[in-house]
Amino acid sequence: MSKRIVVDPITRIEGHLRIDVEVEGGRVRNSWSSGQMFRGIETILKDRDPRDAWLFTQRICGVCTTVHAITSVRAVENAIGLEVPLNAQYIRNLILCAHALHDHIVHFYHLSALDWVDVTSALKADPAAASALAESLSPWPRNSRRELEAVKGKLEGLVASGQLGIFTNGYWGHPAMKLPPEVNLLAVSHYLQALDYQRRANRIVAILGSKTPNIQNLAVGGVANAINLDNDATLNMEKLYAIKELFEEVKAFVEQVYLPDVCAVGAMYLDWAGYGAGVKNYLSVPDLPLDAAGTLFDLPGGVIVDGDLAGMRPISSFGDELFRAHVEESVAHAGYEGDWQKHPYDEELPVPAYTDFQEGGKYSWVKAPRFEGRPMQVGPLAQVLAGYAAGHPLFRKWVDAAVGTASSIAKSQIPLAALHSTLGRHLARAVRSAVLAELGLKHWGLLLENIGKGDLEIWNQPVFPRGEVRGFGFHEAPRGVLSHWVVLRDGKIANYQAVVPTTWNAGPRDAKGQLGPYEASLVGNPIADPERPLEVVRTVHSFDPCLACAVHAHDPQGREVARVKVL
Amino acid sequence: MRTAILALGSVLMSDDGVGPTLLAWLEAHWELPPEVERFDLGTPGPELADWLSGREAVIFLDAARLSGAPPGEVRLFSRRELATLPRGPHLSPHDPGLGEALLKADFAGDGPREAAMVGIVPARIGLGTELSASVAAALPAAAAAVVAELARLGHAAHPRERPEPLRAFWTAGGEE
Repeated sequence: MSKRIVVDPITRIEGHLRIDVEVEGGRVRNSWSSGQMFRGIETILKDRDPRDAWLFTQRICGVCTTVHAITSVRAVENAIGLEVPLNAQYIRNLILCAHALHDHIVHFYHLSALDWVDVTSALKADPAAASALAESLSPWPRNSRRELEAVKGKLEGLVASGQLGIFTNGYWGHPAMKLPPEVNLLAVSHYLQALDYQRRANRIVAILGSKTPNIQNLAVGGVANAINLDNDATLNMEKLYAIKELFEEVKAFVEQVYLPDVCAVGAMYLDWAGYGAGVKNYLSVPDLPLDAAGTLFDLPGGVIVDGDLAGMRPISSFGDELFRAHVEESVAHAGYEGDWQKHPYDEELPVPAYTDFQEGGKYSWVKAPRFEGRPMQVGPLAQVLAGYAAGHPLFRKWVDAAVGTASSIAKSQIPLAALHSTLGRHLARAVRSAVLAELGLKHWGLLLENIGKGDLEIWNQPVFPRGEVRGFGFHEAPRGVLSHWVVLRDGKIANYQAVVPTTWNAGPRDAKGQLGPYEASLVGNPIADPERPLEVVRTVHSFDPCLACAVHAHDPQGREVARVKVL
Repeated sequence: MRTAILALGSVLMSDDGVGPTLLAWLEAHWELPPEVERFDLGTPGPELADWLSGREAVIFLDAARLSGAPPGEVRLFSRRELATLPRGPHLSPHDPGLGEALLKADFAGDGPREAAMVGIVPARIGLGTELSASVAAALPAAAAAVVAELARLGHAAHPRERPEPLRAFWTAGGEE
């Protein structure tokens, strides 16, 4: 008998996600991803000054403020053919590295680790044994017996108070939870330490951007960070050295805590390297530009079709024709009139035409982006695979190190192909973090070197032509490819579209019936207990969704039989 | 004493953005004590907990739905009420809400001792950058509620003789 589980909305404003899975014989047989995302930015921006667009776009999403701001200025700069000074590129790059490090650490420890870690089991741990285990995996100084005893004491206090506070609503005691108590205790300890280290990464964004969320230092044409090494009010030596120190601290946390933790959790849940692959077409874009025009980059991007790394086609500049020509969005199964598939420049505000959820009909408010007509998976895994395929030394180094560590903990050689999985997305995010920590420090050095040459330029004045011009900007954001597409007419915004990472991953089927990445990744996942579908949550979480959701269980006739909260 | 006013809400979603607009209105019409920090956080998700850690007192400004209450009604929520707000199930970084941020800061051991929220009941939450009339009309009363809460915490604010420009880039009457 098949059973229907629905993951359904409850959220504030940015969007919500609903996942329907049909379960039979303890496995997911079919799946539908639907939801709402913020839409209508084109209405808000129409006829506004393109120099202000980034202020509005960074309010689209509360988590991704920085990424929408930077992508917006890149799009406008592309439309008018404006280069930005090197200092501005480096300053933006430092912000991007720091923001992504913050975001990846938060995602693993605070948004998804508790899918794998049973907090209540940590109460049974022996802190001395946990400390010995940790010290066999990493030189991190904060894995001492005393530190772990204190964390255990804190948890005991929480339980004694009769409520689990922040840990209420977890899947405690679920049969799919498999970590030994000592590993669970270590994870809780690192959960707490991660609160501190993600904050240090974010502090870099705040120093350069004045504030986060909603940075204030951008401008079309560059940045607003005046550079004077001896002035308190500007970007000076003191601030620059504070940034370097923060990057070094975060780098140590990533290399000695985050990456080993992901390897250990992965090794102990190795079956999850066999679930969740879904769509093996991957799209990523290059980032961290090294020149004013955006033709040389430190992060690689490219197109991989059907997992064929050898056939990877690179995307290589801010004006890349392969990227520009092949992004489209389909509304065949989205709740708008028509069944068109259009290029973002040509999209208009879609007319809502939503009916009730219908599997074969219009079942989502999220459009389905396609690249050369194909659904694409985006996110750290896409970039890590592109980097590995391109022979990028940092990606090679960290992928090989991570797979090697996980293999030695698991005592079996894990093949590279295991990256196409739920676990692979977590591992890729940790690998990308290790790469970003190194590159953050590299770009810090580049900025200092350039200032040392006497170059203090931070901004080129934009000039807006009469008539119509079009441009696009992209950014490899923490959740994957983000692109903004702008049409300017006589210096005002005539059209504006944002194609966001979660749309690529969470979008519905298209006119050809091709499943989106979430949908495809869930098919075949095991389900131990349909009333507590932890396994669905594991796979969806591994994408780092930008949407919210809740779970209902339905019987085959579509009647709701249980409503389950997802934490 | 480290006190902060934290404005929450999306300024692209009409009345949901009343928190940031209220903060701008407050700064334009009141001379606020310099020791009180003020931040427009938009919709900060899990970052919210970072803004709580190490502070002694916070006052949130936000839209609040209250069953039966008319749009524009202003209400002060206590720390206890905030920490026990119904917690939505979640999968994404957007969800951790106010209550959860307080619990997280408490578990880390550095949450604020004092927390309150000045909530304004919205009339309309949908695409747009302007407040609806009933909510805009509530700004003076909501600002007075913030000033009263500041006074309770020992911070004195004074009305400006002449209002300053509204620093709110999103509204037609605002400036960047």
